[in-house]
Amino acid sequence: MQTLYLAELREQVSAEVSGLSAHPAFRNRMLTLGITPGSQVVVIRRMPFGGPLEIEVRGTRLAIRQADAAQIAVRVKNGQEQEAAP
Amino acid sequence: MRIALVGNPNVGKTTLFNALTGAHQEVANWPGTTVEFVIGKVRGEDVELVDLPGTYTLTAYARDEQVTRQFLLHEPYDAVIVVVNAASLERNLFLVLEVMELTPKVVVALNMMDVAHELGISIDVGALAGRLQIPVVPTVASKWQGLAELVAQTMRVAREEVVPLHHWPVPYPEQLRRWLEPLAAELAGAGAGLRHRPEWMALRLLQGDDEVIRAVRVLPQGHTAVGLALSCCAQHAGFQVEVGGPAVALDARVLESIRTQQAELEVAIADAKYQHIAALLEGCVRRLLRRTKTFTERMDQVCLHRFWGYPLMAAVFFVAFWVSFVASAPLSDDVGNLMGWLGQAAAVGLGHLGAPHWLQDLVVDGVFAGVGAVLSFVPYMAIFFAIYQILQDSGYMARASVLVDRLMQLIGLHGKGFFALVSAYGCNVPAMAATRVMENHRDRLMANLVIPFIPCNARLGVMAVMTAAFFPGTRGAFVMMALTLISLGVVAGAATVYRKTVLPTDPAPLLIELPNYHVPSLRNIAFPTWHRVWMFISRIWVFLLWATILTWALTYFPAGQPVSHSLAARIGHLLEPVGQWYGFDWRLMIAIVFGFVAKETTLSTLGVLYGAGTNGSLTHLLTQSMTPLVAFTYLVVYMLYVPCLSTVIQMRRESGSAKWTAVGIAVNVAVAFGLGLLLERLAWLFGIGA
Repeated sequence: MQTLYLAELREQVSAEVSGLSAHPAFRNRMLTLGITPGSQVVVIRRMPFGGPLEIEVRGTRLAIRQADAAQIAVRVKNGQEQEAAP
Repeated sequence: MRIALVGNPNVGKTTLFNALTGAHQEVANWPGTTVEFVIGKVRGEDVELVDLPGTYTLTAYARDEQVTRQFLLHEPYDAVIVVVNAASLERNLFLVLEVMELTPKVVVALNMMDVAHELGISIDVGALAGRLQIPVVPTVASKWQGLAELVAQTMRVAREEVVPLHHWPVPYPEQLRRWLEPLAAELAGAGAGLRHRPEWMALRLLQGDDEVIRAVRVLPQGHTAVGLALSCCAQHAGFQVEVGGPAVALDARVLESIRTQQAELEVAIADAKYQHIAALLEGCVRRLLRRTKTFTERMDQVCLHRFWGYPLMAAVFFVAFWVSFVASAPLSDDVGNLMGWLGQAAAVGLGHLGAPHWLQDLVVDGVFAGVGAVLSFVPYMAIFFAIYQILQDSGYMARASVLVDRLMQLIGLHGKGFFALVSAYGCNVPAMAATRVMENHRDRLMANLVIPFIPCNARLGVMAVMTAAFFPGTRGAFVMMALTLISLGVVAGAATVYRKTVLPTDPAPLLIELPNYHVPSLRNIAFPTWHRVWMFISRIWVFLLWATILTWALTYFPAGQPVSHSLAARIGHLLEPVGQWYGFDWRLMIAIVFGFVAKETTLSTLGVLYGAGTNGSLTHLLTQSMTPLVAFTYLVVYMLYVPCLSTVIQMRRESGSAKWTAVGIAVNVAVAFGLGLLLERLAWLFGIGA
């Protein structure tokens, strides 16, 4: 198991959400869109120049800003650990 | 009978609404907001259907989404239809559960069954309905399938007398029940004063719902007084506050301990809901493993490509704007010419009847010119809104927002505002309406405040004519380029300053759904387009007509005098002291003032004032009466000051605030004249203007 932030997750690697940001309005939005602790998340692609990430959660595709994704902690399964942030 | 229609965005809710109601629709504004919802009558039934703004949750913070919640909380209705996307059931059932916690009278419309089928998703509808214990009707709204069954089930639920059971539709875990059960029991004990189910209120207390917390904190005895005070303050502050029914006093210590653990409780509640959803869907939904990529995935490989996505977006937007603003221009001209011709015809008719000269003149240059000014907006408004709706409905707009979000952040704006800002180069008025795509009210307000700094088609036209006159050849291209850069700089600067001073928020976090692409239906394009155009025309025509008549009167009276002795000229001379700073004579000043009515008229106003036609062409007369530096300063001022009356009215409407509109106008004028002066002085300093 390796814990890192969603913003650092490599593309096409499945991870489990383990912690969320503290800002109430944003937390509310994440929860209702299905980003809850324990949910599976995959980064599909990243926009250039530090733009938003496209992620897949609960069968739906979402876009999230890099800075916001840096507040979501995820756990990567054994065998899929990555070296460092891309 | 009244039925509320709710659902997540992008689930075909509006398609379903249109299919159920046909053309019997009216648009209402939620009191105190610019949020709209549509009311229609179900075909063949005496049932009113209310299409509420799309929302992911009833706990939302965004204004549009709150309207849905407020409606479900405070307005009377007999049943709720929750429209869900069958292809994305897990996420969509979240809202269903939230609505079920509020009212037992719920019917689920399992929409987009065809899309789900294509994606290899099969759903056991009977089993799902059995587990949810509410009717679930599969529908394909775009093909009118399942509608009769949906109406029948909804009517049945609406007519039923349901005694709400005291339980939660979601089996919350022990950790939460420890909190919920005593709270609900105590709230239930408070009895008749409660407006909502005690179970729901208990849940909302744990989630930190301000309205519910306020309701239970206010002691019953003091309720009336507090209610009065609240509504007074709120009116002063311009807020919309609902004061609940007689409230309940709960133990302050309980509320305090809830508050300290609020974040964990909220997460636990959402988690319990999703776990329940997983249990509901277990065995009900089967997903075939797909080898091939879906259409949306294949599209996104191009549309969201880190390189190709950008030129593609540029191409899409170029076509969109070309069609709305360039291709529609002849149509606008035709409308204007037609009105001019009709005006002439009317004047000739009046002449035959022996009407005085001033009346004929009023009809031609006042009334018909005014009506023409209003109607010439129609072609590009209609085409623009249709295209906007297509981009929005097809799912492309969400992608474009993602592509440009980083860029827009640099100037403190939201990715979703990009289309609105770019479209402002066509016309500021529909651009302001296009800011509605942003959820956060402050982001929207900010975009509305900076949009007037972007030169629209009409202004660009006047600027091009003047630039060509003063800076022939390649120099002209550089001048236009410089002007465009100045406007971009002002937009970025103004946005940053607003963000740092009076609108101190970060742009709303970007977390948006990327819906599946689909081909929008004609109805979904036509209805909103017609509605927006009509709203604009019905609001604007009176103002624009009177403004044109006033302009006419100012240049016509005193009757029989040349224009240099008209009332307009006197105003121009009054403004000359200001103009002198810049080297503008009275004619240029009056053209600035009259340009406020509609920027298109600037050239004709200047033509009249300079006596073009008899004394030579306007460009010739202009170049003779001022230096290129004065002309450049004039262009800068002209580009940046308040665009036109229509924009102001639109800004008032979109911002929902007269105060902010006044601020916007004041800043516009100040920046335009301030920057104009600065440039002029700098040019002198460097000896360019001599």
